[in-house]
Order: sequence, then structure tokens, then C-alpha cells
Amino acid sequence: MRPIVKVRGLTKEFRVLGHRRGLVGAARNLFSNEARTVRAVDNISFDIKPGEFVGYVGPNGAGKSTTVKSLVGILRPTSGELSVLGRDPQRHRTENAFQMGVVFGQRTQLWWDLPVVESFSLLSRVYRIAPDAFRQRFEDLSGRLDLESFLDVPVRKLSLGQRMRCEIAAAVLHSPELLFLDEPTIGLDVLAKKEVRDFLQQVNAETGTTVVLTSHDLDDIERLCSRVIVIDHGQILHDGTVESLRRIFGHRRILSLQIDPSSSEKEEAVIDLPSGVTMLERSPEKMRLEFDPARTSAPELLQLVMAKAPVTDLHVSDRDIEEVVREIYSREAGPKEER
Amino acid sequence: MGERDAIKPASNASASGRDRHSLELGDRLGHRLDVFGRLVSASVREQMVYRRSFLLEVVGRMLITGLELVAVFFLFQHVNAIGGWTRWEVVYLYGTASSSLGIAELLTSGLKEMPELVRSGRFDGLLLRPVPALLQVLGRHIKLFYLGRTIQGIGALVLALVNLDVTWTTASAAFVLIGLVSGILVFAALFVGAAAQCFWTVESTEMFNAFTYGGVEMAQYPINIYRPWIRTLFLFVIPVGFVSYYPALAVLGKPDVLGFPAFFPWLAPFVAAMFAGVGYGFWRIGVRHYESTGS
Repeated sequence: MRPIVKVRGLTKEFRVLGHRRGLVGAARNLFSNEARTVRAVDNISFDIKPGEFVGYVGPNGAGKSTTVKSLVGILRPTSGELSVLGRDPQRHRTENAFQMGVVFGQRTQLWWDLPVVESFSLLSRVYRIAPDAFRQRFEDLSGRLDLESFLDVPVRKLSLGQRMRCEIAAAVLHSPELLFLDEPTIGLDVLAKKEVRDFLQQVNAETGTTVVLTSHDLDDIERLCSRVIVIDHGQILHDGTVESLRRIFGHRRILSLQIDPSSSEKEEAVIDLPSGVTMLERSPEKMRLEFDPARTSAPELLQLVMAKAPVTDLHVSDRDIEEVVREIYSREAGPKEER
Repeated sequence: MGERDAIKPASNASASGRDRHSLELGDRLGHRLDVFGRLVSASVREQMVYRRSFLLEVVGRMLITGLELVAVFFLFQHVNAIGGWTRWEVVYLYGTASSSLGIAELLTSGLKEMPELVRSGRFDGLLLRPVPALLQVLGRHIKLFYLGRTIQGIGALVLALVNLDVTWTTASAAFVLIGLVSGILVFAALFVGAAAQCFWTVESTEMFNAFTYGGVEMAQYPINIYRPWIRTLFLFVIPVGFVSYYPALAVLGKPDVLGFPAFFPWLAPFVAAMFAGVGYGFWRIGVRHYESTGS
């Protein structure tokens, strides 16, 4: 199958200028040679096949949004070849726009001051959707994403969860073949997250829409993506299935504990930790432990700690993507030096 | 080739997509106008919610800009002519310049949102829709209180024409329109070109106001009264003066004391179109810069 996205040696460098103030400063900024060059994306290549659901992950500043912006055609690469939907994304931005949907998490694609329903009817004109087809499509989308209750509310007055559902509905209104989602679940509560995920899964499964998702949320990636590309410092560290990613970093969790500092008789009681458990943080009132649930269970670990310290509160969480990526990065860096 | 496309299973959406982007030019223009019209209508309806404050703003703007006209009358209390132009001739010049500026201001008022759109990153979203970003900015954020100057300017224009003894021919009527349209183009190009600066810096600079609001003050008096370098600047560099002065000469049947050829009034629309091209060029360069920096 011909790839729907093709990236070959994509590199993007930014010139970072010393910012000068005022009119003269602004004018000098235009011509300044005192620029530092930062390479945000460094010679990356990958293909995406039609129908894939790809997670594109990495810490902040890793080069995620630079890649996505290049793929949608609003950023010109410094070098490398791009083909999206069979075209050069920048030169054919308008043509691609008809077949592409984009959600930029924090930035709205809708008309801020217009009621939701008006934004959608405007979009139907922008994307040249026939009135009948639009009515049917919009009814379907607002049913699935539960938009009915706030269709007359201006976009700026929506809650984050409501707005995100609208953004996603707006991005798929014209039934795009390719959908880019930048942090679509950031800041959402559990219920809204589930709704968004379920919908995206449907879109991908039912219409074969290719989805590229960037997220900080490992849960998003695990539940949705068939493939994960991990990027850091502008380079691809991992490209494969979610399972293969998990094999690399294992499944580790973090136990955070609040400790009552006043009642501790002796300071910093010594706790014998089983092997495979790492103390990430330790202070008189707080403790963070990383463990592998396959080897040590959370209650077991908790019992060990409670025998020595008065625990007042606890929280178990998955490691976030930043920590995982940091680990992969340090592993990658190791063998390279040996070679 | 066509057959294979027909058989390809998932080609439903892509085939219609291909039809959509191989649109004829006229069709594309119609699409853009349709979207522009709907955006404008959304802007207007939004502002109509506060009808009373809208009316106050329009009237306020009318009165404030009307002071410029009062100044012209005040001046003519003391003199009979300026540079060989009588009171109503000058009012005609002023009326053309002011209504051109008013309409241009109205049409480009959406550009006031540009710094915010760029800063918030919402401009990215506009680039991702299949309609030019400039059109979306202009349509969506039209600010109706700029009607104030438009009404005032057209009022001055009509008042002057009633009081002047114009020999009406097809040509003189055409030059009234040519003067207006050329003026709109030049002022609009200035605003568009000036707005492009926000692709480089979010700090707003007042430099361009010297040419727009300064330009209208300059254009309300016959250009022959100014020093040669100012004359050259506003005739040939930023042709605010060219597009008001020469068509006015043709309407009023006055000789050109600057001694340029008799076809000069006919050049006004071309000069305006060229300048509009330059203004739009600045915008394009700005967008390209934006695309390379992603800021």
C-alpha cells in the first residue's frame, strides 16, 4: 500500500534571535546576523500507511510539533522530503486541507465568539459540504460526541472537555482521510478522556481514517495506537508497536507516599527495599518509589514502608512518558559510545 | 488509470477530494466569496447584539472624523483658495480621500486581530483551512464602527458635488468612482502591508499610521501645495496623493499645475492596482516568513 505520509531525512533548524525591544530593535531583528541555530528535528524518516493509528511521543521540545507542523504544511523544512496524501504538504496546503483534519490541543480551530452550531455551519461552507450531507454528518457527530446540550453556547464559554469534543468533531466534519491530533486529552477528566478515546477509535476503525496522535499520556497511546514513534532531541528513538515499547522499558509504576513528619521518632528510618525497587525521592514528609508490579506488588511495598514510617496518604501512578523517554534515551546513548 | 481509481476501495473520499481541488478558477472565487460573505455576516450579527452601543460608536466616529471637515471650512473662513482650489473643490478632495480611507479601514479592520491571532497560535488554524488566511481574517473580524468615517466621507463628497458646478459626462462620473476605488485599494494595501509586520514582531509600531492617517490629511489638500519631496513620496512611492489628486482634476476639469501628461488621471487605477500588489506581496512574504519560523 502506498504510504499516506512519507518522511525522508526531515530536518528543521530554527534561528533563535536575540530579542531587541522597540521599533529600532524590531527592525534590527529583521536583519540580525547574531542568530543561534537550533536543530529541532534532525534527519528523521518514517512512513505511515493508510489506516494506521500512530502515536508520536516525546518530551516537550523533542520536536513533536515541529514534525506535525511540517506535515500539515505550515512549517517549511530546512531539508528533507515530505509527501502527505501524495503531495508536497506546503505547496499543496489548500488541496490537502480538504482531506486532512487537525486538532491542536490548546489552540481552538473554531470561531471563538460564535455559537458552536454556527462554527460548524461555517465550516461546512469552508469545506464545501452540501447542506443535506452536512445536516446528516453533524447530527451523527453531535450524537456520538454528546454536543447537543451546548450547541448554542459561544466556543469561548465552553469547558475544556466540551471544547475538545467540538474541536474533534470540527476536525472530522469533512470526513478527512488523515487526522492529526496534538494532545487531544490534555487537561480532560477521566470521563471526557474516555469519550474522546472511544470516538477516535471509532473513526479509525469505521472509516479507515489514518490518525497521528501526539500525547504526553501513555494511557492514550496504549489504548489507541497500533504503533508508537518516540522522538527526543529531534531524533527517533523508537519506532514500533506499543508492545515492543513496553518490552523495552518494562511496565513500572510509581508509589508516592505522604508521611507525617511530626510523629517520626527517629529521623529517616532505614527501609530495606526489595531488589527492583528504586527510591526516587525521599524527604521527612514525602517518598516516591518506583517498582515493577510483576515483581513487587503495591500492597507489599506499602506494608514494608508502613512498618517504618507513619504514612498519611498514598498515590499509585504510571510513569509518565517523559521518564520513559529519558530512560530510552540513556540506553540508546550507552551502546553508541561503546561502538 | 481511471478504471483503477474506480475499483480502489477506499477511494470514495479521495476521489471526491480530487474533484474538489481541480476546481475551475471561477468556482474557487465563488467559494471564497461565499465563505467571506458568511464570515462577514457572522461578524455583523455578533455586533448587532449590542445595537445601541454600535450606533453610539458609529456616530461618535462620524463626529470625530467630521472635525477634519470642520477644519477645512474653518480654513476657508480666512482664505479664498488653496493652491488654486476653492472651498468646495477641497471638500471634494477631502470627501474622496476620507470615504476611501473609511471603506478601506472597514474592509481591513479584521487585521487588528492579527497580533493576537499570531501570538495565540490561532493563525495556524487559519492556514489549515482551504480558504486564504487573509480572507478569513478580514471577514471574521470586521468592525462596523468604521462605518462612521465612511458615512461622513461620502456625506462630504455628496455635499461638494452638490455645491460644485460639475459638467457631468460619462468620463467625469467614471472618475468619481475611479478616485474612490483607487483610494480604497491604496489605503487597504497600506493596512495589509502594515499588518504583515506582526509575522516578525508582536510589538505594534505606529510607523504605518503616518502614511494612512497622515495620508488622508495630506490628500485632502491639493498636492501641488506641498514641497517637492513630499509630493514625490505621495504621488509615486505611496500613491495616496496620486489616486485622489488626478481623478479629482478630471472630475473638476482643472489643469494640472504639476505639468504631467493629460492621461495621468487614467493611470490612477493602475497605480492603485500595482500598489495593492505590493501590499499583498508584503503579506505573502510575511506568511512565508511565518512558515519558516513557525513562531
